[in-house]
Amino acid sequence: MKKTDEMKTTMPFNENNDYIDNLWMRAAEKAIAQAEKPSAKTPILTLHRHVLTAVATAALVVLVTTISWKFICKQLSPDSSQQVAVASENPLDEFLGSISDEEAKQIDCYQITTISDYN
Amino acid sequence: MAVNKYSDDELYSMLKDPKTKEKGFKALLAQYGRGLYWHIRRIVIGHDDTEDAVQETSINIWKNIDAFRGNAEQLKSWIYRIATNESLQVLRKRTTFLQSVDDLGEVLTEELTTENPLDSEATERLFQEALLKLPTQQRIAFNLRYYDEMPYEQIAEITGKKVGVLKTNYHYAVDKIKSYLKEHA
Repeated sequence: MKKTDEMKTTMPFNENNDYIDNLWMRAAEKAIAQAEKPSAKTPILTLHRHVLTAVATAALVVLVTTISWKFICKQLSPDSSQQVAVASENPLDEFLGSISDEEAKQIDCYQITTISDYN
Repeated sequence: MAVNKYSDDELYSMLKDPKTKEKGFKALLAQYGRGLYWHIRRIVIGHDDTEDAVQETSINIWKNIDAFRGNAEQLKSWIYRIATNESLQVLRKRTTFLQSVDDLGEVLTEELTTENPLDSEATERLFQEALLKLPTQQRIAFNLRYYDEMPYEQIAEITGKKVGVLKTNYHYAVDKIKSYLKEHA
């Protein structure tokens, strides 16, 4: 399946060597010009990219911290049913629940008169 | 424009010296441009697509010269590798969702028929059609071996495939082309 060099380089299309040489030279000029052109824009683009990255990182840190904090708080604090149980076990509550309103008034009066003795 | 005016060592030295980099770049394209153009053209087939791939290849060579860590002997493989990647990139742009470049065979064959000069030989056209029936990687390996007559080691540098795989690819490609020609002649 060997072919002549002429057929290998020119087939199946008819572009001639001058066209190809000029195409590459134009492409080379464009490549060089394009590489020089964006140099002025690069710092701004880079700056924008840096700012965006910093903001995104900060937002992520805040989000993670908030979620972690809430999770830790939830783990450490007893839930509402536990709080009721603790409250009902308080001996002071039991004492206050056992006295009548009349007794409470007497205590109140006693406290006032006692305090006034010191004035 | 003289061809093979500079040796690869001379080109390499020019490219690595900031003072002669631009001259070296243009000399490199002048020296290998024709072969590189046909390599691209055989992959993308279309005239306009070839021009796009040529432009992108040129941009990427210029942009990456400083990052090139190979030696002078690898310069040709390096630019062919860039050209191959850019050609595949151009083909990828033509694919639709869930389509691979291998699915473009029919489209490229149609394009070949449209752009092929009317006075071209029927067998040559048939041969090109047979090539377009091959999977893209196989076609590239075949083109580099058959048209550019590159050693398998160099094709391996360009395509990133192992020599054994390339040899198998080439022989499969030859068998498929032969059967296609026999069937359609």
